[in-house]
Amino acid sequence: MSVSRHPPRWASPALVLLSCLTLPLRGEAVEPAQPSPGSVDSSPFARLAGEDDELVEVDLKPSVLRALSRAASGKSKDDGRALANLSSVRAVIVGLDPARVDAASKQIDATAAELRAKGWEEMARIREKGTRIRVFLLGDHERVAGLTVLMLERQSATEDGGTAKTQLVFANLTGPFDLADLGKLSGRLDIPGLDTALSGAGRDGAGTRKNGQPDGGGRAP
Amino acid sequence: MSQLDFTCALCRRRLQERLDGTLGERERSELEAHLTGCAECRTDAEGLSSLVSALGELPELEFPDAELEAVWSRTISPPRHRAPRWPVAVSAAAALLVAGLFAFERRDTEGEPTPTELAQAKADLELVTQLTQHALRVTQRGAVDAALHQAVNPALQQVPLFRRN
Repeated sequence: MSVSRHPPRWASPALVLLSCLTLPLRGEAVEPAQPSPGSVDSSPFARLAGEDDELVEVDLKPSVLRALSRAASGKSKDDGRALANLSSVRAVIVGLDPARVDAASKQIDATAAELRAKGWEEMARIREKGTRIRVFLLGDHERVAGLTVLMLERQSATEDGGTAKTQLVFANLTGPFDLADLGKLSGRLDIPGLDTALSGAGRDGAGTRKNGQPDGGGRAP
Repeated sequence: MSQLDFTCALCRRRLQERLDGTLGERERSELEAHLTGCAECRTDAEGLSSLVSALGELPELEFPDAELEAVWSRTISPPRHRAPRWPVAVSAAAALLVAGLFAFERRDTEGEPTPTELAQAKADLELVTQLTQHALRVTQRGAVDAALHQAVNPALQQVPLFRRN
């Protein structure tokens, strides 16, 4: 039996065509090596959490957001499109011990100074009793390269008379996305089947790390 | 009801009802009788009347920052319905796109997150968007409070009821 060392005649043009089709898509299919301009380092905020502090870290990469977008598109094209516009979502949420609030406040100021130096616009700033919020935007409202929220908010004391903690929130969403996308995604993502998938599993998947109590993920106001 | 039964506390409630237009004829007469004999309640009634007229004359407030208002209106308010864009079909381009998407889907499913990871990601995303919205709402409330403090409080200070307190 003889084996030909040459590929069949049709193989060459087919390979060229296949390469042409997949070449422009290769860059999108892999995670970007360089962080986008709207990306902000979350690690200084995560380091503020003590051993016993409750810590939630979120790091949603493009591939996960694309998969969510595809899943959401079946139910709502709008949600799918809004999700597709997000490049990454990163957050650090810490239930801070009162002793660490000053350090967190200083870190917020340091990050704010760094963002301003990099051309971010400070959209809003609130400093009132028990609450500090700074909101930064990179880009314009229609094409936001990055949105960063830095927040310190004192929580009410626990029912058993425990010390009132202060919640530190660092949130960084990168695009380019439209600010209206954020309104669309505000806590009402309807993706069939996913809630039941989570109920039977622990909360340690998809880039979330926690210290302390097991119910840390559901503390949204 | 005698004049003695009609207390100052009841008078204040009746004043509010008179303002709301829910006071009956008999209650109105009792109120007027009490006001004739009680100087303190009369002052309150005058203060309330001047408050209502002062509030009516307040200037319409504008947010201090139009840019910021645009951010809030886009992120916090419910999204407006957009008219659908009609698809434009070009057969050759569509065929190419379908082929390309097919190739892309095949590539992308290799690193596809599991349903559990996807559910976790959805929960995380909801958490982050809710916290972001919460922060934006607080900044909006803060700006409204600041505007009220600057524009409305001075006007209220002109009202005797508030000046006394």
